[in-house]
This record gives sequence, structure tokens and C-alpha cells, in this order.
Amino acid sequence: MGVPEEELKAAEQEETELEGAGEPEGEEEAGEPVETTGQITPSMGEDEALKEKWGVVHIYSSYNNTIVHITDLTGAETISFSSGGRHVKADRFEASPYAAMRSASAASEVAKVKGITAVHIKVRAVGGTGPRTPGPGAQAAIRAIARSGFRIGRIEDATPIPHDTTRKKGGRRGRRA
Amino acid sequence: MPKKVTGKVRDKWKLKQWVTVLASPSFGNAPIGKVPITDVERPAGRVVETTLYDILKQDPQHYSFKLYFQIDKVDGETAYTILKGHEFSREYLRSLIRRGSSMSDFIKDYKTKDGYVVRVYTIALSQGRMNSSKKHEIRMIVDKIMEERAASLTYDQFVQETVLQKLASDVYNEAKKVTRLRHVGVRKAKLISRPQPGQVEQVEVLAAPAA
Repeated sequence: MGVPEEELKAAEQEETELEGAGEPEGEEEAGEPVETTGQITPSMGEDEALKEKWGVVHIYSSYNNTIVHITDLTGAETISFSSGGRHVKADRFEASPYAAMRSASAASEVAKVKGITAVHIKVRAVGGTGPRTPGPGAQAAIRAIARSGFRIGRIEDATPIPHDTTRKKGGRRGRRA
Repeated sequence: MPKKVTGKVRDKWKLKQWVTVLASPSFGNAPIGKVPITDVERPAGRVVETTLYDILKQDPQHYSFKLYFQIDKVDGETAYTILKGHEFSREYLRSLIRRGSSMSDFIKDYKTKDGYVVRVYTIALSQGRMNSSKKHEIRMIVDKIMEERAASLTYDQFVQETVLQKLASDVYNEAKKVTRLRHVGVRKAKLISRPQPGQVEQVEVLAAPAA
């Protein structure tokens, strides 16, 4: 640790602001969609999008592990990778916030060396028939990424949600442990 | 042995070259970002996700429209793309759907003037509950308008109108006669197929006698 509290708070604030930006601002007025000019012209400066080297941090957080995988914008080129199991000895700690923090900072360390300066974050829970809420490591991983000095773009949920599924495991009477 | 392997990995990264990805011409060739590649052929087909706001930089509402650009070809330092489709962000769609109001969803493939096939997902949300005949009526209107517009526009124009919700507002103006509507939008659209050279003519020949 050893990071001053203010910095921590700043990182947190940034996080919440960004999350807020992703949300829509109330509902649209009576369905009358945005007025259009017909022609799309980019209004940004030429190098605005190119000043930073963007990456995407894919955080897969289940109840058994946390995987932090940094790729390029397409997701096809891996830049760095780390998982909870690389940083703790016991299997049951793989999903812990500590392991998530360690793996996130390990992955971002490598990404920084490779020249990535800004990242989008995609958080993923197990999804499908499994739980739709991210595991205990997700928060810690996001915070570690934010603290490691990247510019943060979008933070979004990328949990696969089926439109219909096979039956959830556990049977009719649920899991009886 | 391990030493050799790590050496190889590092080399691989150094070999990569950063190319600039440009949005499709229908979005003014705006730069989207940079992508590392090893050779020129391999990145074709990769998809870059961005938001409408990142391209237009006007309305923060545009953050909830996701755009997918597929890399078509790489030329020197730049990668050219085509629009693969767009989508409402999950949070935005969730915020539109609520209890006590009905939703009429319509999904169909349309062929544009220049032979592109696009699957369009249109959504209409009412103020109160709609019965199924009204939902059906709205779907008919959507289909009629989309069919007309697709036939008279090229893919680039059609895409602009769907992404900027211009088509949706046309539908809204027509469908509000059926019931009170809260929102009409093209929540998703995706490119199904592109015309192959030579195939276009064939299609037109086939279509001509029918019309």
C-alpha cells in the first residue's frame, strides 16, 4: 500500500464519475429522438483519439478466481495477463480481493512497459446459467487498475446474459450442501 | 530453456507496429484509436468497439450508443473499417424498459439499394399497456417504413439514419397515431452480408421481373 489517502479518494471519485457518464440522463422526451443533421462529421481534433495508446482490461471475476487480461482495442492482441492463482498459494484465496489487486497491478505493470497509457475496463461475472454478479475480486481489481496511473475510459459490465438458457445446475430442490 | 522463450515473446511485441484505425467513411473517417499488428493481412475482421460520443463529441447521450467497426484492410499506417453494427448500451436499454408499459419489438433483415443486408432491431415503448393488435399495427408500420427507406438508400446512408435514430423518429411520427408512445428506437442493427462483386447485378436482374 503506502498510497496517501487523498490519492485513493481521487481514484475512487474518478471511478464513480465515469460510471455515471455511462448512464443515460433520464429518459428521452417522449421518444422524439435526437435531432439529426443528416451528415456525420467528426468534430474532434485529428489526434485526439491517437494521443493515448488505448487498451482494454478484461476482468473476469468469479467466486473461484479473478482473471485480469489486458488486450488492445480489438481484443485480438494480448498485452498482458494475470490471474489470482499466480499470486496466492491456496486455491480458496484465488478469488480474494488481495489476489485480484496483485494480479491487476502485475498485469498493468507489464502493460505500462509495453506503452499502454489509457484503458477501458470491462467487468465480467460468470453469467450464463451462473451468477450475474461479479465476485469479490472485481472491485479490488478495478481500483488497482485505477491506481496504477492509467487514464480510465469506459467502465462497463460485460457479463454474458442469455436470452434463454439451459437449466441452471443444482436441480429442482437447489444445492443441498 | 525458459530464457529462450521469454526472449522470443519480447521480440514478438517489438515486431508489432501500431496502426491507426479509422471509422468507416459514413462516419467521416474519424480516428478511433491505435492497434498493434504483426502483419497486414491478419487484422482484417477484427472488431473495434466505440461509442457514438467518441466520434461526434457532441451529446453525452451518445455514450449509450455503441458502434462496432470491423477492420476491412490495412494500408500502410492506417486501418480502414466498415460499420459492423450498432447497439444501445445495456444500461440504456434497461432504463427504457419498465413496468406497466408495453414494448413492441421487431426484428427483420432489409436489403439496401446497393445490396447490403442489414438486420434491424426496432423497439417501441408505449406510455401504458398496449394490446397485441396495437403491437402488431406498430410492427407493420416499422416494416413498411424500413422497407421503403432501405430500398432507396445506400448502406452508408441507411446506417447513418439508423444510428442517429432518424428512421426511428419517422416510425414514431407514424406510429403515434396508433397509441401513445414513450420511445421508439433502433436498438440494434447489424450487417448480415455485403454484396460480392458480380452478385449485385444478378440480384437486380432477378428483382426486375417481379416488380
